[in-house]
Amino acid sequence: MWVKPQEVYLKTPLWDSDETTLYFVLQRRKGHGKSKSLSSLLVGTLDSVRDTKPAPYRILHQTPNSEIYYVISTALTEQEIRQDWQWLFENVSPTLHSFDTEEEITEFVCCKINSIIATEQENFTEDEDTITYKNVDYEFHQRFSMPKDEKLVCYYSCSYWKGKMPRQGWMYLSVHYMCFYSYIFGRKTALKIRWADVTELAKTNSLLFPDSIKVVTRDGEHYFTMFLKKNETFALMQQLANIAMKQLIDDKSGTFNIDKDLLTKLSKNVPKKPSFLKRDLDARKQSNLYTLRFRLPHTEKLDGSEECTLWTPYNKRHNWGRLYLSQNFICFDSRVRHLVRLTIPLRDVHQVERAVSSTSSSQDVGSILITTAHHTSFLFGNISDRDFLVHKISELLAKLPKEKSSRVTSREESKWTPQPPLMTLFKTHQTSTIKQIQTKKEKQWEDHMSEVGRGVSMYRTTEGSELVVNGIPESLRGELWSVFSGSILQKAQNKGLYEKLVNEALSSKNQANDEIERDLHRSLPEHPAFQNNVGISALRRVLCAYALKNPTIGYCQAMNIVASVLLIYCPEEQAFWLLATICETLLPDYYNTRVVGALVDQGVLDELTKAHLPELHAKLDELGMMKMISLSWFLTLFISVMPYECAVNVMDCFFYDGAKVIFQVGTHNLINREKLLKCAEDGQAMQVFSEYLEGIYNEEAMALSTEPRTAEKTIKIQELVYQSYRSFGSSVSSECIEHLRLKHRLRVVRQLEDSLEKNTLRALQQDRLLDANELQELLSVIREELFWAKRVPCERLEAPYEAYRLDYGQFKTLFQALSPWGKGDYAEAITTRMFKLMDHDADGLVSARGLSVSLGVSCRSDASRRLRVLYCAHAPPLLSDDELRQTFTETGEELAADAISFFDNIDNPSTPDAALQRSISEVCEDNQMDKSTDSAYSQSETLGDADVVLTDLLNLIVVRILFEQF
Amino acid sequence: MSSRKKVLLKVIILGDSGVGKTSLMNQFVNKKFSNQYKATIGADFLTKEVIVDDRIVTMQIWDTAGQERFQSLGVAFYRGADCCVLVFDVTAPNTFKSLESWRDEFLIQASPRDPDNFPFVILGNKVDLENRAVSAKRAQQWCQSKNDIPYFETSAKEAVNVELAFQTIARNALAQETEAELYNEFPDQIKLNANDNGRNRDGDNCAC
Repeated sequence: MWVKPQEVYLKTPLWDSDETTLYFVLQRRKGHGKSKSLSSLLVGTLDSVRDTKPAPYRILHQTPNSEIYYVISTALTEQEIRQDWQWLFENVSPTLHSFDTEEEITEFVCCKINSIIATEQENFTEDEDTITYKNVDYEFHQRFSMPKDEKLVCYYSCSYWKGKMPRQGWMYLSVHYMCFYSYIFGRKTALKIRWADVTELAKTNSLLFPDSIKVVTRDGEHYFTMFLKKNETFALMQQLANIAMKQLIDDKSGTFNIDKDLLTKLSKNVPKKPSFLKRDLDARKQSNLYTLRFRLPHTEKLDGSEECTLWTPYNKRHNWGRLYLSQNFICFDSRVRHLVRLTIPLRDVHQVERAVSSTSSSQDVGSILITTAHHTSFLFGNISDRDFLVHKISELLAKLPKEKSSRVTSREESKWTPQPPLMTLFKTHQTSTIKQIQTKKEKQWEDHMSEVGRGVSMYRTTEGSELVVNGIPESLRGELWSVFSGSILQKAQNKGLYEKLVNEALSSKNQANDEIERDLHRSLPEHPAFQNNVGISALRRVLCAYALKNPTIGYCQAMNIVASVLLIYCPEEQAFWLLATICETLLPDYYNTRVVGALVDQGVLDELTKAHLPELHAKLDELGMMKMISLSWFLTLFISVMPYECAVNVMDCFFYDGAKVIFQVGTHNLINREKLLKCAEDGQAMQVFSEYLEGIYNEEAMALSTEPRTAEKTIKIQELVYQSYRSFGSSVSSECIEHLRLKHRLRVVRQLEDSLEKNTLRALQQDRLLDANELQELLSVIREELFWAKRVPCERLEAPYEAYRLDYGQFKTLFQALSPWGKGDYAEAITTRMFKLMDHDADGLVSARGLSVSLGVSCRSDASRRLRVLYCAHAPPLLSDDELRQTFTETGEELAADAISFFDNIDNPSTPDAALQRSISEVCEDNQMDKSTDSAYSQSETLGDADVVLTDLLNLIVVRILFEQF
Repeated sequence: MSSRKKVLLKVIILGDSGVGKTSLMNQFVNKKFSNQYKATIGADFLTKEVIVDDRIVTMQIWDTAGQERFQSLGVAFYRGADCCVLVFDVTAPNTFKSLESWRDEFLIQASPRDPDNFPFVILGNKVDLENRAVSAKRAQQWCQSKNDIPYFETSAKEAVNVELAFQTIARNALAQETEAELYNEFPDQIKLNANDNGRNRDGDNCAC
């Protein structure tokens, strides 16, 4: 146990030194351990007589030239003291040499130990949001001048490397920031990094920075070392950074809500953490893993889990594993991987009872029996706290929402009927051999399902996995895909939604629908179902309904291809929910407007290739290939690159095992490609790939394409899938993918942000008002302003700068701070006018360009142009005629009329109305402006000096009018 | 000179979704039209050998995805292109309007050495259809305004002008390639200047 450093003298005869290093000594009190000398006996007696009873082990800190020693740790057992010793040895010792003086070393060590003690005390507190936490929270807000609603999640003691020196201090992790603060040797170090700016987080261990966490931002790298709980800290940092990234992707407001459900949770095995938020985040992480593992809806929150056994009737065995409980599900996963897995929706649960065993075998201790509405029973045994579990389940059952049985719309209203699986309507020709194979497979599956059950709550066994790898028979695909992917649950939870969405989607007209229309005939044209209006209409309904359901995705090409395959095997509504599950759960963020998910996964595949096939990776990297080849693999699940009848086999596994299958098959596609290594350029390599992929064949199903095969046969699909499982099945796990996704998401989002910024800058530069550096700075101020308003740049619309939009308050702050027009008595009025002028669609928001133009014009452009802008801002329709009159004196009115005619002259070719148009382009389009002003000047030249004087005069008059008006 | 060595020309086809990029490429390479293409995801490519001025050249034609959300992903393909083909659909005015931004985007991302003289070719596709909405004149005018980009009206379905258009593409790409070779293999200033002078004189002629 670490103790507050205390000065002592070493030369006390009561201690033996066990280990000594330059700066630390590990000591054992005489009379403890092996030594049985007289002096140790004496000391032992002394200790037992006296009441002090010091701990028998301790660690001292010393410096070679100092007489003073500090006790920094004491322990009752040798094991305990060894732990501390080890920690010192690994974390502190290697860094001490970087200090110049011994005093500094001592100060550092004492400071370090003190902070450790503070942290440990923290862990003893059971209550969340303790006094200590509140103090730290207050400190955090003070030190980093954080806004009040910025929430501190957790804080850790660690050291930050500033240059070659470690600074001992505290790392604060909040929802939007990571901060570091230290005050040592009279020097203050404060660091504040926004999660959204982090491009890389990594655990590193280099000579320079031993066992550290590296944080990379655009501006540089930061190293933190000497964590007590490095893994926990790192995991939390990664999670927070990813939440920040997700917000950037999803374009939702950056508010972070404390989950009320989690706080009221009753479970006993929720770890207590120093803050609500930390606990919430932990729970969220657990829940993510849980939903990922059992393919449950995202919203599902894990309540708790418990070790127990599951009785499997098909082999009459009790299998050890873990039972998981959440609002809507009971799940079980065996301890032996892939042995058995089970999902029971609570809505199906009919009865939960304590099982009374007829035979008093020990296995039946603490068993419960769950019976579902389909009269299937599941027996769990060896539950340590059976009553609690039963109580808990009944509680959850009571909380289940009542099913809404009302039908949303009556059938008569709809002008459409949902289609059954299209393969039942449009039969493709099958040879007798193929028919036999299919029948045989069907038989295998029927047998299998008679043992393990059918539907959501079937036991997922090793045997089942093997059957999936061999390919699901066509007739069962629809059913099994829905069960394995979990989409059947979504469908059950959202009765009637599909119908409602279709009715609404078909009656509306929007961009997504247009895009869908264009692609309907380009989805699976080789299948007869899509050469017919029946199939096309079904596809239209599914895609349009989904675009309506999820506007952040809308419609993305490739969804049409995937959806058409789903429609072949599934009834229409089921196909819709399968599509939804793919877009939202299995391939998160894949189809959104920036295809972020697919880019992230390309990065993941790249990394996996690097790890497993380094030689090939180097080659592909040289060719710049990875980005090109894999996009369609991910987005279309290989359907657009492999023959259809082969790609569906990959889909079988994909629905069963999740996205890992794509990586597995993807990596396997790269294996054994000696040809690739010989390629000289990217085109050649592309050809090698497409020949290989097109050459994959399936002898167990009919080829869909009626055209004769041109590609040379390369590998049997079953063989490919099997091999991919064998080579990469275990090394490419779902958890591993999820982990790598976290890492690559940071990079991808940063790149997208950068390119958005770059494009915006480029677009703004075309106005030629401010130079690149000024714009860059302006944009960073805008981002800052938007950030504090908890708004992130939204999706790119017509132009990149539209992504950054400011409301009046934000515009005002920036305009008044930066523009010369933002000073003086009329600042407010003129700001309002400029805002109105720039807000050309009158939606209360002005784009980055609006601001940059306002600033550019007011700071940089020549007098006549500035006047013109002022004039435009004060002319109808921005200002109504009444408003104008009210403020004008008689002479003013006259002058205004003159001014109008003056500007009309300048703007000769266009009509007076056009001159007053409140569009930005009017104000800032260089060509037009230059032309009009040029023509005005050239006019004045030809008319002679008198007119030049007149023009100047007019300018002055207009200025007067404008100022009188204020 | 190195004119006898095998030449590989990289041609990029860009344009909005559904204008017929894949069909044009297939009509040119495989001499057939099919209405059974899937929407292009990512990119696809085909090669074809053609003879240009007695030289055998291999054209490597890259077909790209047209949907806007894929636009930023295409940049990997743009590098090293010898010619860029911009396609629009004569029945859809929007696809014509996008040409400008496709061109800009290409120039920015590919950043060719001499952006003003980089060979582009514009194809107005689907002229076989009745409901034409972009007139040949309007398209011509735009092409002229952009440094006289060659313009062809094509129909991938009926193989109208496809061969001719791709011949021009090959020739212009080759010119670009040859220039690049000159640039690479003859760092000699005099050679380069001679070449430049030639072009300048042409330019003068035009202006007069």
